[in-house]
Amino acid sequence: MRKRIRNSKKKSGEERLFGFVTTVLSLILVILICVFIHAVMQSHDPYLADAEELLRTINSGNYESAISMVHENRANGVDETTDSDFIQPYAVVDYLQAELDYRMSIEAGESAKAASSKVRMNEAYKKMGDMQFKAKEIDRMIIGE
Amino acid sequence: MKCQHCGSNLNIEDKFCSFCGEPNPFAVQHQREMEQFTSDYIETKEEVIKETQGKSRRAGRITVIAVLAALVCIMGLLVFKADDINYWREDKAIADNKDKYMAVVEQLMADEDILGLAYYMQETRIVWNSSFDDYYKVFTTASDYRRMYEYTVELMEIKYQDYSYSTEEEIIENIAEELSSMFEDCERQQFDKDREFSNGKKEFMDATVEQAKLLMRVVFGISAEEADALPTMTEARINVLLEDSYEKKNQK
Repeated sequence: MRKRIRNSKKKSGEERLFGFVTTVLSLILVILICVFIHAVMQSHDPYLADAEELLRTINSGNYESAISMVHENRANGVDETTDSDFIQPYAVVDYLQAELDYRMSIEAGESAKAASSKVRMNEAYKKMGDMQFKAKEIDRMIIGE
Repeated sequence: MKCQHCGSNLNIEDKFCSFCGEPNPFAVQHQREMEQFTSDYIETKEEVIKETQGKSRRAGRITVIAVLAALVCIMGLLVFKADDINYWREDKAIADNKDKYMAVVEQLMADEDILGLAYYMQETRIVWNSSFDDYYKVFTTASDYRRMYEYTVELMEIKYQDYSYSTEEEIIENIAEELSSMFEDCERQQFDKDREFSNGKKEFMDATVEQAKLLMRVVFGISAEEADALPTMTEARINVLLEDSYEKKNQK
């Protein structure tokens, strides 16, 4: 009788242990499945600069970062047509690059390319709007005054 | 057995003698013993059945736990490799849309838009995709040019900034490093394949080198002859040339 009681207690102890282990493993499995689904559904979204960040970067004179931002945005399809706030900051970067291309073309004696670069500079200058004061800063920077 | 009273034959189960009618004392004891045996038998049988069921139940539970543990290990491995799985999916998507990406790459090369190509290949991740192995040298050259261009702009703007992470010497050193790397990447090495230089790729890389030389002439004021000699120089010589030229230009 005592043996029977002892055995029944031992068995219920085993059952509790099995239940506990099964529950813990099941919980861990469910959590891992959720984490896996979340990780796989998440695509590698590129970090794209918004207009405000781009403007701040340009205003601080950090044109090297601004060039990166504009090119990364454009490569991911974010341009002036998607958000009009980008028109002016993009134009500043386009002006800088166009002026560099212009000076490189002059240096190489390629007048046709220089003329085309000048046209790009003028178009970018118009789009700069109230940021046109940046053009002088860029000119000074490139010439090295 | 025999009846104690008349001696006639009796079965042990007979409670009374069929000849003399006297009670058989052994029958009661026998019945009691039979009942005890039957009870013990049933009890033992139940215990054995329970024991057997218990063992198979235990085996079943252990199997369930083993399967759960195996699933947990597999899911753990999948979670650990989730990034690799994502990259594989992205690479497969690129390979499936190779023509679309190729069209953009070809257009950018035709326009000699080196920066555009450098950023496009990086943002779309085609630079790491095996479907574009033939463009490896083009991509590497464009990437070198991009970094060199950014360092050059950083050098130009440094004078107008209150604070810079790098000094002018450090930036010029970086420019020299990228230039040297770009010139090396454009050259045909021993194990390079023909298709890495065919279909306009060589022309694009040559154009990139020319653009780099022009940029150095504009920013550093080096002569055309010095610029043409850049691809033949070591990185250290390029660095010294650029530093000296930059100093001279600033003194003017």
